[in-house]
Amino acid sequence: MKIRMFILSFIVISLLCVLFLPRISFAVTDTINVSLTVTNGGTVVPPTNCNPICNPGPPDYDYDVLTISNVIVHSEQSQAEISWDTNLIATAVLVWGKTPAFELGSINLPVPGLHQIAMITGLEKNTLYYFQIRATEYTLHAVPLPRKATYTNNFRTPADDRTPPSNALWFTATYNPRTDQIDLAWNNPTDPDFDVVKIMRSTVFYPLNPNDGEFVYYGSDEQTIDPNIVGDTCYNYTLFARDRAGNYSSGLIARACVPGERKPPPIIEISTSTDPLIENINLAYFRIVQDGRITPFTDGVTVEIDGNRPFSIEVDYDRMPEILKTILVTINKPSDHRQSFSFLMRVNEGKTMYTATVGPLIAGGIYPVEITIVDFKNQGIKRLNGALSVVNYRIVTVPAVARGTLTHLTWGGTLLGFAGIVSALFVEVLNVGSLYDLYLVLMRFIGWLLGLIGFRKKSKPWGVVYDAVTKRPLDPAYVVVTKTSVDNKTGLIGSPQEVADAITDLDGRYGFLLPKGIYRMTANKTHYSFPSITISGRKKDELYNDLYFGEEIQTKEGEIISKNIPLDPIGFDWNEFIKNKKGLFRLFTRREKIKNYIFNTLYIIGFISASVAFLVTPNLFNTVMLSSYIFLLGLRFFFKYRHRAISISDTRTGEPISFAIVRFFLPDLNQEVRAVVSDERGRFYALVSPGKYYVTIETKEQDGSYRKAYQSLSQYLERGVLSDNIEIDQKKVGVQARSWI
Amino acid sequence: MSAQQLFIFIAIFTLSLLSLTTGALAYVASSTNYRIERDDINVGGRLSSSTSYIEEDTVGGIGSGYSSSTNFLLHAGYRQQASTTLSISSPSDVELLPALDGAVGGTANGSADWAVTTNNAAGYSLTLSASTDPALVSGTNTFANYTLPAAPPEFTWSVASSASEFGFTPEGTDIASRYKDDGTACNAGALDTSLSCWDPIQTTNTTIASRTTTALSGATTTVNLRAEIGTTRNQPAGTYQATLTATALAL
Repeated sequence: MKIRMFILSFIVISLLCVLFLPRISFAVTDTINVSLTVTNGGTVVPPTNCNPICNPGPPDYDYDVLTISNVIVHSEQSQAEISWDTNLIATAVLVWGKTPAFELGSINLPVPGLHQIAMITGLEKNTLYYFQIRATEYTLHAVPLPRKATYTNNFRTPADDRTPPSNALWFTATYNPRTDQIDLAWNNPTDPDFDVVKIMRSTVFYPLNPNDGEFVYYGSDEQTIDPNIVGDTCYNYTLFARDRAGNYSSGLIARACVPGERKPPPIIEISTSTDPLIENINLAYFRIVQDGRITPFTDGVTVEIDGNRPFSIEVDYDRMPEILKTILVTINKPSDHRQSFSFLMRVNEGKTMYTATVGPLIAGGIYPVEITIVDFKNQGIKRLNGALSVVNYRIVTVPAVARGTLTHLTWGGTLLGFAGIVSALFVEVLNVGSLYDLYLVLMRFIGWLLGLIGFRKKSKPWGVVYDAVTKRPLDPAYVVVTKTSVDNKTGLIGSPQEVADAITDLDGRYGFLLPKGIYRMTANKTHYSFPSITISGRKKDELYNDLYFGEEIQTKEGEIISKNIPLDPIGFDWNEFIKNKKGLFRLFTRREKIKNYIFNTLYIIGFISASVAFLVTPNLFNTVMLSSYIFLLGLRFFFKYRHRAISISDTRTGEPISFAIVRFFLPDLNQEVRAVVSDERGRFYALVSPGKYYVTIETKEQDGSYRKAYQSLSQYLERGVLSDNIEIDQKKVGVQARSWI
Repeated sequence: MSAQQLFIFIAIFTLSLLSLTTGALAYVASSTNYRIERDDINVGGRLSSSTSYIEEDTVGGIGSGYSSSTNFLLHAGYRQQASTTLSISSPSDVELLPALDGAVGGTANGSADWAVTTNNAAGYSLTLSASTDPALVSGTNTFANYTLPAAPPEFTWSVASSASEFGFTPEGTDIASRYKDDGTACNAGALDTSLSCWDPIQTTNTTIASRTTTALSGATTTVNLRAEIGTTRNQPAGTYQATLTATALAL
């Protein structure tokens, strides 16, 4: 036994020792130093003593002090000029490449300055290039860490662009007698690749290309002067816009004459007897092209264009006679027809048409257009007149008669009408008495929309929020359900949490289906208070059962909260109402008349405006607007004839009987199926299923109680609505009865 | 277990510990000034040297020599009992070239060869570490240690244009599998593609090479070093230094 144990112990311990005892190893090491020199313009900071601890190095400089700004890139197909400013005098290196590694080259700009320009050449067209500006502050005394700044960006060289840019706009040449110079002014085109303009002049005729005539100006400004003038001479200027690819526009022209004492300026005699081929040219030969949409000019028709987009005017080459001619187009300002600009039409590269491109005219209005064809052979001239209607949206054609005022009418009138529609709909159909009510109505509308598209489950109306005095349902009112949580462990009651809310519908109805629990409800409406004090403590009143006054509600699983919530009107006194009944009725009548007058006026103005707008510009917006007016008109007729309000009035005085309760009963069962309350003017509307009914009316007495004053005979309601007004003799005691016709 | 059995167990345990202690630490005689690792009784021997060599020899040993099989190595005799040798070469300091312009950026390279020689039959491992973190510093200015997108070394050297970083890659027959590649990725395959699989040099030892056999003629591992200043990086001027330590460990 001892021997066995000895052997076993030896084996176990041996294994443990082999496994866990540390193995003794040895090692040799070698250490080297690695160094790297980093320079900044040749300045090297000597190494700090790092043995054993690195001493603090020189303080860092604020590299952000040097900034690069106003970086401008002028890129052409094979070269790019890049310029920039620095806030401090600096040298710079510009590096570039096809990748952010800037692998293609660098330009050293050793001359210090605040503005630097570098030209990169040998570029490929339609290629993206990255570049970086590395600026280094220039100082008279070398500093270890001069301020530096970098700027990185990219540009793309233009593709093989053969499309000329738009012409400039509003080119004027005016002789200034004070300076004895000709002032030239224009608006550059807004083409993205616009580069510069070139102005040429001639005393014979307008220069027809950028190399024709005498050079005047080259640059990107929008005004210049021509000082090299002599008296008694007229100068014809042509301004050509050039894009970065080197394409020139057809040319914008202007003319100025310098007065002289020697002789008056020659009067150019223009003959109207032109070449028959030119004489036969009419406006229909020309067309306006904008964003690929072609609209031909036809006599008496204005072409409508989008003022925010450039457009071209074109005419087929083969429709023009092969004689020496020039086609000029003059566009006048809508507000002042004396202000104009003219441009030349030029034959395109393929010799298929004459064309000229004009930049966005922006301002809306009717722009008269004159196309002039100069017949050099016969010294004749042919003029054609049309118009451009510039608007801010789609291109459509309109009759030439509808000009100026109609255009201005469209927006103002249509918007006015739109306001009329909205306000009329809100006020006529809904009971909006305050901004809060308006908010509730909007929220209800959103909820209705969500329900319509399936995002919100529509709930049936189960309870009613109503006026505790008049019994009228309140619309809109905001009902909120809160739940008070109780800590299961401590029994402490937490703060109430809002768990659901609802906005009552037109009949004051709302409903909640909540999980089992204890809840409280509050109802809010402008000019009403909750809970009701007037009928506090009552379980039911003349019209509603199961009243709610703010107490806790304990629901079971699946139980519906369907309590009726009375609210007390603030500032309304029934006795006062009775006393001032006549005056109030007059007030109501007057208010209603004013309201109807305002909305009818708005409606008529809006309807007319929408109709005119639709005729002038039959676009989608105007179509929708006009349709809305027609719909509203139909809605009014529908409500008038299908939802006709029934009035209850006093036989003797003719006064309306306010806030009377009207009940519909099934005669065979004496079962009430519907109850409504007349409004302050004694009107009510009730819709029941077609069938046989009798109606009772309970009038509100002076002390606030109700007295059954009327009961009709049974009658079949074919459409489910009453058709005749009801008269009651309030002095007569007992129930009056009558049959319907 | 009785008291007698417990006594026996403790005795055996103690005996076992003593008997299994590594022999490398053994010596046959010592004083306060020396330890004699081993001794031998033979008929003669001497230490001789010239400018080119040093020689120790003994004569008269009996049954001495080396023998081995797949299961054992036998060093019989006084000379044959010579301890495991391990040495590492000491390359010159490295200057990364070219010097870089801190405003323009660029890449500087250098390398150091460490040759490890050992007769240790279990081989060796070679580790590399830096004395500082980050490794390449100049006062308060630094090059960041080479950053890796993932755990394995990065096959292709890549530094963001806004960064400046310093790293290395080893090359040699014994490089660790971490630095081997399959032509596209590191820690995969058996290739040693030139200037691939870059790693940072950290203050902790990173095993860069190892072998499990002797390296009697020396196994050289080349450590390629690289520092780069990104094109948009504004690296302060200075002389940046790193102190690297290569450690060869007998296995």
